Order: sequence, then C-alpha cells, then structure tokens
Amino acid sequence: MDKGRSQRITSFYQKTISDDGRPDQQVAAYHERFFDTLANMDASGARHVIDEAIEAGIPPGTIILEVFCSVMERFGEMQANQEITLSEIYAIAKIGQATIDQLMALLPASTHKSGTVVIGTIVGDFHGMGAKIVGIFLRMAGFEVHELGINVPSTTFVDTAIEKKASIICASTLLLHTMDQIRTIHDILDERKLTNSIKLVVGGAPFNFDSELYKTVNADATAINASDAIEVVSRLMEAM
Amino acid sequence: MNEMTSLERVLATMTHKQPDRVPVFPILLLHGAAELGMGLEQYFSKGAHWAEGQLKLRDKFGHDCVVGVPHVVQDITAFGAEVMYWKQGPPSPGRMVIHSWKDVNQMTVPDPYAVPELVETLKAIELLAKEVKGEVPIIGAAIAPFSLPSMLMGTERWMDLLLFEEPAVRKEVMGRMLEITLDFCAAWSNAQLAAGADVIVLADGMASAAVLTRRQFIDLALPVVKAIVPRIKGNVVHEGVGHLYPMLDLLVDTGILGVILSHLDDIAVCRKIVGDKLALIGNLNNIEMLRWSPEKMAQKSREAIKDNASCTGFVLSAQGPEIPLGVSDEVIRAMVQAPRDWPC
Repeated sequence: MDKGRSQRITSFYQKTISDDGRPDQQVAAYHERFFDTLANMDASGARHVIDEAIEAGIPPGTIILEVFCSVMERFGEMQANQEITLSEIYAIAKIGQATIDQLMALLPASTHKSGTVVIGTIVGDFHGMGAKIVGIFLRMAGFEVHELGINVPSTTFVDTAIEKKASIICASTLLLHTMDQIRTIHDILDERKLTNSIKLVVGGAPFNFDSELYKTVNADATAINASDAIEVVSRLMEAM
Repeated sequence: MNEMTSLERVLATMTHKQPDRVPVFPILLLHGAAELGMGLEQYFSKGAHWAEGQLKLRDKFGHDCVVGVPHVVQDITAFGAEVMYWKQGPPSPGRMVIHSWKDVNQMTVPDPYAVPELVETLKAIELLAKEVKGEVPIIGAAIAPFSLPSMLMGTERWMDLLLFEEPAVRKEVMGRMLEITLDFCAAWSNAQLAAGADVIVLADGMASAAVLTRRQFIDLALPVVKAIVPRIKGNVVHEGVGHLYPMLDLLVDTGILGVILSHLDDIAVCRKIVGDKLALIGNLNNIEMLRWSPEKMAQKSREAIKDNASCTGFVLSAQGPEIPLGVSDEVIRAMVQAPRDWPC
C-alpha cells in the first residue's frame, strides 16, 4: 500500500489538531494495546485503553494522531491485504467510531471537514454492512457522511446529495443485478446535468470480483475496501 | 473408458473414483426464461416453468446437472418475507421480517408444504425427477441455518447480535433463532430430497472466511453445520459464498460430501487440505466471466481442472450462486466443452 493511502486519516486530523506529544514509549504502548483490543473486537477494552491514556495526561490530539489514526490505518492496510475478515473490520469500524467521538468531544469544535458524501446500499439489496463500514471510515477521515442505509432508491441518492450539498455519492451492492439501479443514479445525475459536480463511486462484491465492472454502470470509480474508499473519494474531490 | 451418464460421472467423482471425464455444472438459474420466451417473474411463478427451462438448457449445453430450485431467496418466503423481482437477475428480498429481538420470540417454524412458493419448487423437482432421475443429478438447495437469519433481519443486525449484544441476550436470541432455522432447513431439505433431489446445497454466505475468522467459525458457524448435516437425509454440499480455505479442514468431518469454492480459493491448496475426503466444486469467477470470450472460458476451465491434478473429487463449476444472464451461450458452451477436450 502506498504511503499516501495509508495516512489519509492522519492527514485530516493533522489539519485540525496539534500533536502535542511525541510517539514515545508510553504512547507506543497505548498504540499497541489499542490495536490489540480492536483486533480482539473488545469494545470495553478499547474504551479502557483510551480512558487510561487520557487519565495519564497524554493530550487528546496526540492520542488521536499517534494511537487512534495510526491503529485505524494499520487495520485499513490489513483489510486491503485481505488479512482480516468482514466481521473484524465491521467491529473495528464501530469501536473506532465510538472512540473518535469520545476523543473529539475533548477538543474545541472544528468546522473543518474533508468534504460531504452520501452513502447507501442500492434498492433491492439489504446487505448494508459494507456501506456502513465505509461510511464510518470516511467519517473518521473527516468527511461529512450522510448514511442512507439499505434498499435505497436511486432518486434518493441524488436528492439527498443535492440537499446536503454532497460532491460524492457512494453506492454499494452485493448483488450483480441491482447494479442496474446504480446505473440509474448516473442517468439521473446526467439528466439533471450534475455529473461534473457530483461523482459516483461504487463498491461491493461484484465490483471486487471484476475490477472493470464499475465502468458498465457509468460510475466514476470503485473502491475495494474502506481505506481504498478514503483514497478514491479524496482523489475525486481533489480533482473537482 | 465407456461414456458414463451424468449421474454415474458425478457419483464417481464425488466418491473419489475415476469418472470418464470431469463433470461440469454451469449453474443456470436464469437462462431458462429466454428458452421459454418469458420474463423472469413469470418464469419464477411456476415450478413447471423452471423444470422445463432446466431440461431445455441441459438439452442445449449437455452439462451434468439440473437444478430444482429457482433462486436463492425463496427460503425467506416461508417466513412471510416479500420477494422483489428484477428483469435482469434473480429476485431479492423485498423487506426484512425481523425488526427486534421480540420478533424472534414470536416466530414459529414454517411448514414447507404450506408455503406456495416452496410447493412450486417441490413440483419442479418432481417434474425433473420424472424426466431425468437416475441419469442426471438433481440439485436442491437451502439457505444454511447460520446464514438464514441474516436474510430475515439483515446482515448488520445479525452481526450486531453475534458480536455486540449482551451475552445473555445473545445466547437467548441466537439460540431461539438457530433452533427455528435448523428445524426449517432440515424440513425443507428433506422435502426436496423426498421430491427427488439427489443432493442439497447448503448456502452459508455468512460462514465463509470472507466474513468470519477461523475462531468465530469454530465457535459460531461450525456447530450449526455439524447440527444440520445429520438431520438432512441425503447428500449435502456446503457453499460458503466466499473463500473457504482457512477453515476447510474443519469441514472435512462434518458429513458433507463436498464444498463449492470461491474464485479466491486455490484449488490445488484446497485439494491438499481435504485430501480425498471432500469433493471440490468450482471455482470460476462468475462475475468476471461476463466479459470472457469462449477461448478465455476454455483456458480458465482447463486451469481449474489442471489445478485439481486429477479427475477425481472435482466438479468444474462457477462460484455461486449462478452464472449471470449476460454470459453468452458460446461462453457457457466453452465451459461445458472443456472437460471433453481435457480428458482424464
């Protein structure tokens, strides 16, 4: 994995948080313990490690950058390398979301964000875990994410993107034939002359089984996992 | 060696004896509609339609099986779930039927013979049996008890229950849920066998290595596999709907006859793991084949046969659930032809 991809989460927080500490031994130990608790899908253990780090006087900014971000990026790399399963990355995303909410509450409110994304699983498909995981990772990377859930009609994706001023729609499917509904999202964007201002990213098993398939639904890009989604969405936004 | 019937060929390979050639299962659940000149919703409305479709497809391609079930989501209709039809693919669930753990407590085990959609499937199997029983394997299928809950409540809710719910609640809800799906799966599988199916494919999409760790598989899914297989009064094949090799050794002694592999499974590695204790079925990439030429299909099929290293214990097929509609007749023919051109 290239360095740029693996550090997308960190780079967002570096824009808003000052790293008051150094990755010294104490912080490195918290990193390893936080990693272990997440690897064991131990939500209360993860919370305990973060509580302990806060009580030990380590600045929240340092915890976010040197413990949270670097651990999440390690898991992102592991997912990219197929070293962890869907259940693991799902648990890690959920625990990670709770952790970052806890830590960000300790910092002054920031209005900075990476961009706005609408995400959901297309109509006819009730497999929502993949989109949920990607949504959480995007949020952790600083995006404002509007989750639409499962079985979402094509028009809802577009209407919500317009309403929330999103520049990216992320549509997921596990089923090959519901891909047609994703093509409909593109058609609606095209009809409304929005293809330059709203980009369409697709994900899910069929697109992972065939890396060229996203072109058949006129999507702008595909992402094979959560960390790849951060990279793809960031790249598209930078190019807009 | 004299030419075997499809059933003789499949029985030989599944029991690790020498067949005349590698059997080939292109799982064609959708293509029959066009053979009958009808849309998919009409095709799926009557068992007589897809029985006829299966027979026409077999006449056309000459492969080694017929499939008695129309699509993979029919099992949920037994629980009152709606099915949504599509013009270009199999139906999908229209809505979930479990919205809270209270719903699980109120559920009862459906009787397959009282569910109109399942009765149509049994009619289809009976029609197929009347025509080809004893010559061509008739494949039945059921959603495995561990995975069926995800289709009734959604994958996220099922995963939340398994991973995050309070242990006491998890034990109670999961116990009740699996009790229901085990009873239903056994009844439904045995009904198909009684109607004439030769084998039941248990589709266990939540139990592959793509979803579960080996530890989770041992703790959560494997006990369910071990519980259901002896209750099915016939041959059982396990389909992980995802790669299986990290837990394949654990399936060897469960009583199943074979496994359907994903394109991410290495056949040669899997063969080493299971030896001659399980048949391997697979593992062409059913999505990528949408843009394969007949030559590419022939090449991929030959590679799969070569990876198994012998003709025994192997059926050339694709990963599940089916070959998509966009795969052309020429490409399917190339798949069926490959074992004939690549003799044992």
